[in-house]
Amino acid sequence: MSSAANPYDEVPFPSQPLPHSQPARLGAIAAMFGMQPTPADRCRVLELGCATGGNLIPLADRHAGSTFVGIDYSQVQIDAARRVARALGLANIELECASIADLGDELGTFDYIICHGVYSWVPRDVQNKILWLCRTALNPQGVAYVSYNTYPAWHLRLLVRQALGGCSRQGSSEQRLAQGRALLEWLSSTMASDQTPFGRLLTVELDGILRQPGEYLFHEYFESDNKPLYFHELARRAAEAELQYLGDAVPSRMFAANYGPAVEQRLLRMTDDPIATEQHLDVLCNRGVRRTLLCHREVALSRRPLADRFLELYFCGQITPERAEGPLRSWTPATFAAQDGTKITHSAPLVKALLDYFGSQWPRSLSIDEATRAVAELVAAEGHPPDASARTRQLVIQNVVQFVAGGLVEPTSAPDSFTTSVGLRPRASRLARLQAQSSKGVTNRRHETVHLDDDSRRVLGYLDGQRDREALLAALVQALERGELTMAGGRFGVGALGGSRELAVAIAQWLTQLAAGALLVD
Amino acid sequence: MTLQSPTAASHMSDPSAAANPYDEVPYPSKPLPPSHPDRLAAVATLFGMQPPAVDRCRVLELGCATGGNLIPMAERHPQSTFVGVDYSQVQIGAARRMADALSLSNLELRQASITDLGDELGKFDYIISHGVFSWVAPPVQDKILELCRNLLHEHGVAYVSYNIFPGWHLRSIIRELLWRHAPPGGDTGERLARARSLLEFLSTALARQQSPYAELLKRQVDAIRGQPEGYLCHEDFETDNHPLYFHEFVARAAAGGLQYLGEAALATMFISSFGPAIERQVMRLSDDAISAEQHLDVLRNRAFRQTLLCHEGIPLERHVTPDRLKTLYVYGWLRPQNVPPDLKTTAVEPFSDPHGRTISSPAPVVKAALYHLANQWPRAVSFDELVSAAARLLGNGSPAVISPFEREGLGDNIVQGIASGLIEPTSAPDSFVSSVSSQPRVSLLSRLEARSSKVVTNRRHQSVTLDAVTQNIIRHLDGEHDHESLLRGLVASVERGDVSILVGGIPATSGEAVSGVLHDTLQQSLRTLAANALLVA
Repeated sequence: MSSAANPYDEVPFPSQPLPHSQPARLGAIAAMFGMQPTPADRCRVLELGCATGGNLIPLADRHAGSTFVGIDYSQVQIDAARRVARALGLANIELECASIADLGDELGTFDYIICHGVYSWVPRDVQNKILWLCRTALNPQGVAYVSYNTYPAWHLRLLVRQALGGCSRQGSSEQRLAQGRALLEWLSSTMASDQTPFGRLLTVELDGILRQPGEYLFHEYFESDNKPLYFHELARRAAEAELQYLGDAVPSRMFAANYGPAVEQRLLRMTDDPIATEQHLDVLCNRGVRRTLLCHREVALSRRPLADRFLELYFCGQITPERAEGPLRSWTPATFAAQDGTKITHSAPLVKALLDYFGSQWPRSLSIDEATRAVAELVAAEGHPPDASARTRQLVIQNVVQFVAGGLVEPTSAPDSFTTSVGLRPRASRLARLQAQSSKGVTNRRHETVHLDDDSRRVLGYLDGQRDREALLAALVQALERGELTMAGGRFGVGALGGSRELAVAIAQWLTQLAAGALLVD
Repeated sequence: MTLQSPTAASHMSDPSAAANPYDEVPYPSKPLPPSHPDRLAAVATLFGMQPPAVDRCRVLELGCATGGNLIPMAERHPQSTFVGVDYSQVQIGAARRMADALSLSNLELRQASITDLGDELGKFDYIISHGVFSWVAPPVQDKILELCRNLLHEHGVAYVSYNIFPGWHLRSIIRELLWRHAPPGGDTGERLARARSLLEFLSTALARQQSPYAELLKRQVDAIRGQPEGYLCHEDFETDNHPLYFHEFVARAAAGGLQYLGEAALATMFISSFGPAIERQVMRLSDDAISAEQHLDVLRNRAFRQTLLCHEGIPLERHVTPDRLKTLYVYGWLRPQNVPPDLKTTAVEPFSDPHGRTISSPAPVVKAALYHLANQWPRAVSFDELVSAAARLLGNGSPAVISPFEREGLGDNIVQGIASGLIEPTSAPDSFVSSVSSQPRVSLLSRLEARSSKVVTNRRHQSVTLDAVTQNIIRHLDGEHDHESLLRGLVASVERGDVSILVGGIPATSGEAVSGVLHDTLQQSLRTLAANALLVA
């Protein structure tokens, strides 16, 4: 392989944690639909196209009892990934430069296989190889995650690619990118005055593209190989590779009910095939990317979430109470907002209490038992003991099933590996501390990227679990004197010089913030 | 600027025609004005070619269906010869019956597959292939281009229509769903029913989504729902459907030794309709005419093209200069906004077309020429006639003197009018009259058409839809009947109940009042026929 010929050597793809690909999420969805997935803390995971390890390394760091194999075609990227893994002293990850086409049985078998941002960008034979690896290298109850670009949305994006195709193929990546941006900006400004649906659609699309970082733009729009396909085509190809569709990595996207009762009823009348149903939904919402979970065709799946399997899972939801007309235990309506802005209004005390508790505990994940106890307390009438009976638990499960289907809460199969309370000697993961040295984006224990300002990054670097508050204060006073803390704009009401008392207040606020960002570990 | 939408292509069959037992002569395919050699020659002339004369040329149509496009051409140009080829024996049979009824000796109709055609057809000045290219497999597409290359005379022009991206991106989405939900095989009626239920679902469900995407897709879905079933059958159920980008089509034509001449819908080629700012930007971003037009396709979400090709190596002059107008005729459905317009001062006078587009000028010569054009509609007039009419209108008793400078300026304005689509060029003089004679006559073709259809072909090669009374009258307009005889015939038709009319809002069959009404109706119908380019004498 000549590295000069590999565009990913020249412009490395931004490699980030992909929350929807983490084994704990895949396992939760698999369990919901009736599978017996391997727990995320003692599994084997393969990532095809791991780039610089942005997704796999945090997983290896978090699940020390599991083993991880990452494969990438770019030696430059694998070298970068290995440097990070070595710096973290990770013994449970193996990183190899190889072409997917050359992979075979020597890898062994895996409980989870992740292949993100690869499928649509490789030739057809490599696409087939990816699906066959998901078949041959996957354990019987294993789950494969494959992301790909889909029609219908890519019809419009291909149009944009087409327009960019007119740009010069000569020159450096930067020159081509600059030329491409100029063309897109021109198209966008020209279409801005066009009030037809097409004009508005293209303007929205172009503006979305222009907001993307350069590396992403380059790979999505300048790479030669991009083969979007319809969801049903992927499902058929998976079937040819003796796999079956398990579900979407974002389960709420599978349910027609989220599109309103009229759509749901009409869809039900038209088809009972889950693939056809989801294909119709893709067209309605102009879907452009899918993260599809596959499993062996021999696995017996339930097409409805199985309520009793929820007992083994954990759930979290960033829910904000918006407006309540009475106490939780009354039957007056209350409105809650989900993370994506969806509003939900309920009157039933138990449902309101459940949503309220989820909101109060965010970002913690709750078991059904914990939620049941909390709800019972919240709605217990005066003078009556909380009722955490089997019936209450049943109602909690039923509602959590609805919340998952509606996208209000996310399921996970592993308990949290972070703490939301600030301990005496607060500690951030070694990975986060390492990342904070060179980057504003750090990976938290929910497997997300958190963007920190410079001061927070600096503070994070001191959270090695060795320093109590006093030692932390001393270290930060020195940092302040060295000019390493900006205390920008008196953000915490601290003057430019910042006395140690003010700094102590600021530390408390920093720590609270970092804890809320799932960045502190026990 | 109106967009061309994909029209029902010529090799489809129209089930409604087959279901009509009164059709003596089935005649479902239609004249396509942009494919007429008049138009092809006019575009070629504007871009600097010397195309063959239309009244003595050879024309080939690939996929002529039942002759709806070719037969009117053959009738109008008796000195030219025409060859039509179609894969369907049924359609060729129908076309032959019509040609026989018209006693056309200059038209040859053949049943054949395009892939079997070769040099035996001879050479042609004009080759037309409408609604075929996108609906056949790539090897047949290549064969169409190969025939255009091999059978076209050195200065000949080929017309090929096809479906394009970006417009077809959205259509592809619907097609994909239809194929999934109503797969091929089985009963066509059942397939259509499934397709209809899917379209109904999409229309309802998309109405609930608030986004430009949903709005656009719903518009497409509803457009398909509004089409007759035959259209749905064809556009969305046909096995082969291969839209492509304009630049891809041009590249394939170039590989076959053909070059891009222009578009039959001439105005779509000109950037100026977007305004000067965009014109400058497009020119800056584009290396050549092809990529400029490709950018315009994206801006317009264009779905369809009617492209003219000629041999490579023919020198073309993309900048249209007024001297190209000297062998052409122009017409335009223009109305002065002020009646009468102030011609002699330098007041700006706007002229509008039925789409609301306007062309204005302060120059007396330009205003006078546009006023003449407006008054002459639907006639096409030569550039010399425009100049002399302007001289007459601006003169005091004797014609005004038009300087070469003013003549040049008028030419520039007419070219601008053509570029913006308000004025149409044609290369052949009119073959119709615009005033009603004492013994009016329409073409034999229109009279035959009127026997079974309200839709007839006029001498501008357009379809005209008639009301029931005019449909009845037109059948008697053979040049043998004067107005009195026509009125008697109309009265008899009403009495027999062939035609029903309302007098005072009540259906009536005889009496003084009826003949009074019918006299007015006849005169009105004759004026309508004249205004629609249907009277040939």
